[in-house]
Amino acid sequence: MKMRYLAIVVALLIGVNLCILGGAYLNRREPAQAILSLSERELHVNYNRENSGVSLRLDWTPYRYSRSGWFNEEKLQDFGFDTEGMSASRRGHESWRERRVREGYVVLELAGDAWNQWRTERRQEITELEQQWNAEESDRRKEIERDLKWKRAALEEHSRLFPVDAGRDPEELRKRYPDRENYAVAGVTVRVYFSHRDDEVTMEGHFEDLLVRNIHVAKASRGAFLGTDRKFTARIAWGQRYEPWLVDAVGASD
Amino acid sequence: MNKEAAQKRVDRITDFRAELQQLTEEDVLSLDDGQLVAVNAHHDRVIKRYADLYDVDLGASDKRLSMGMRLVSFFGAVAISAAVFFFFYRFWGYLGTTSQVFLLSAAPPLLLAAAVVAAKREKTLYFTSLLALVAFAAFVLNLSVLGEIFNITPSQNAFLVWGAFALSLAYAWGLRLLQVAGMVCLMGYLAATAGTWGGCYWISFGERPEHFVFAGLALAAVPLIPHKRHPQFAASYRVFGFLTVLIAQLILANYGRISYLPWPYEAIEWFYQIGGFVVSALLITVGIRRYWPGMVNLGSTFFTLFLYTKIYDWFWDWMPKYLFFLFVGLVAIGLLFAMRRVRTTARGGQR
Repeated sequence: MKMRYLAIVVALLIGVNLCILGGAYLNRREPAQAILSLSERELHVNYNRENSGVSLRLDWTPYRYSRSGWFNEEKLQDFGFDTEGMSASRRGHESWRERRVREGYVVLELAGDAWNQWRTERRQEITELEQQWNAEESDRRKEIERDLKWKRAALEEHSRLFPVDAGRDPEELRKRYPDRENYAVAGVTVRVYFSHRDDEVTMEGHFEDLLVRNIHVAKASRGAFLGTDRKFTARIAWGQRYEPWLVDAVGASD
Repeated sequence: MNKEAAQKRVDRITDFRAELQQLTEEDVLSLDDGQLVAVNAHHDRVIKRYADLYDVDLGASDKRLSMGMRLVSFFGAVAISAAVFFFFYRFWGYLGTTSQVFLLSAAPPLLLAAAVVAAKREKTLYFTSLLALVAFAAFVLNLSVLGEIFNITPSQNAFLVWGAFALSLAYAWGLRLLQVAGMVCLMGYLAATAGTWGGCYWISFGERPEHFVFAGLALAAVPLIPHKRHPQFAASYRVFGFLTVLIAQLILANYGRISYLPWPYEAIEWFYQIGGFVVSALLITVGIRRYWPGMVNLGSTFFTLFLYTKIYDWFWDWMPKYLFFLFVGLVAIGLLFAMRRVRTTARGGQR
């Protein structure tokens, strides 16, 4: 009897490790679903004294900042949300029930139209702030200077990855965005949010997070990310199972 | 025969000897010398056999020492697991991927082998329990870090695998700590899976307490499979399962908006309040009838909790505080009378 339980334990140890390694192998089979060249704008380096492993956190601009409005009720229906049922009870206090998280896929665009639009908006805001600074009395100027500093820094440092589409079927999304060097399809979680303006309540989707946001850095590539100059270029691939990995990386000082 | 049964027999023998001594002193019963010698010799043989086979506790001081050793074994396992965990994270970045995978995959089987060796050498299983817990921690590390290395999408299936691992070790050697670890993992798996049936992403399973109602009932149903070799495991499944159900009910009874039920919030809260009283009362009744003390204690605790929650809702705002606490005290006295009556009735039933 005891041996039977120990045999189960041994089978679990072997089976689970084989499953993980097999899954990783399947994900990394050629051709990769996408390979994007990202920089320190999109990848935040995680490293600390207690954890010698280095990982990269993928930073992307959430939808609500892109203002493009494409994540509407129709798109939410693709994710399986019962938007018609929710419409019947759109009172704010009833909405919580439907705010469950669902999973699907998002198309991330690198330095494309969404980023250009975002940059144009930020530049307009900077111009407006500069005009205000010239017109305002000195007591408001400090506040405006702070805003200007933040917005100028954002233009230089902000992630160029923007979500431009989403759905439940990753292959369908890939067909719509065939460019594998500028568009990646990645797993994501989604929630419904309700906006209240006057008496009107509208629904829109918000992204919670990517299913895999942290990307492991192997020992061979650590040097590119731990240099004194924090600038680097890293190629990140998304594989057959839409899971990412680091292909290679070059530090600015290399 | 297992260690628990052997311990119960030895305890009965100790109690019998003390009572026989008392009865002799009170001139109620007196065995003749021949009978006394025969009974004592028989009991001595039984005690020696069980001490050799199972290392049972032979007195109160032995029991206190055993409890201390169990605690030390538990804290030792937790500390060593934490050491393994932090040691790996402190240095793994300096290893190549192949070495990382090798270390992660080799640690659990090596620790398992050490636990097997320890189990062969000791009867008390303190070191076996310690090593088995560390092997479980190494297996958790194995899966989670391999997931990190290969950037694998997290899944609730990890909880199922961890649960199966811990429970297999628990059943192999009758280890309660491993059973608790296994139950917690299974609970996570069942609740997350119930969440995915409702269309949720599995990680958000904690947002809806009803997932835990399902998971708790599923765990409480495990003892329907006979546990002849490990009868103490059956009680743990029941108590842990219904504890989860009652906690979920208590949350929903006060916060109906996070329920799946398509009713007004007030109706949901009433539903779960009444449900809480019914389930608690049922646990007390079934616990008394089946002689399950854990269930009786659990039912009594939650019946009181549900009652006090309701009393607070109804009276706190408008009653003067002295009157409120007086009322709570009177309710406690009423509950004492009610429980004494239940106990008396149960004793009558036993007779």
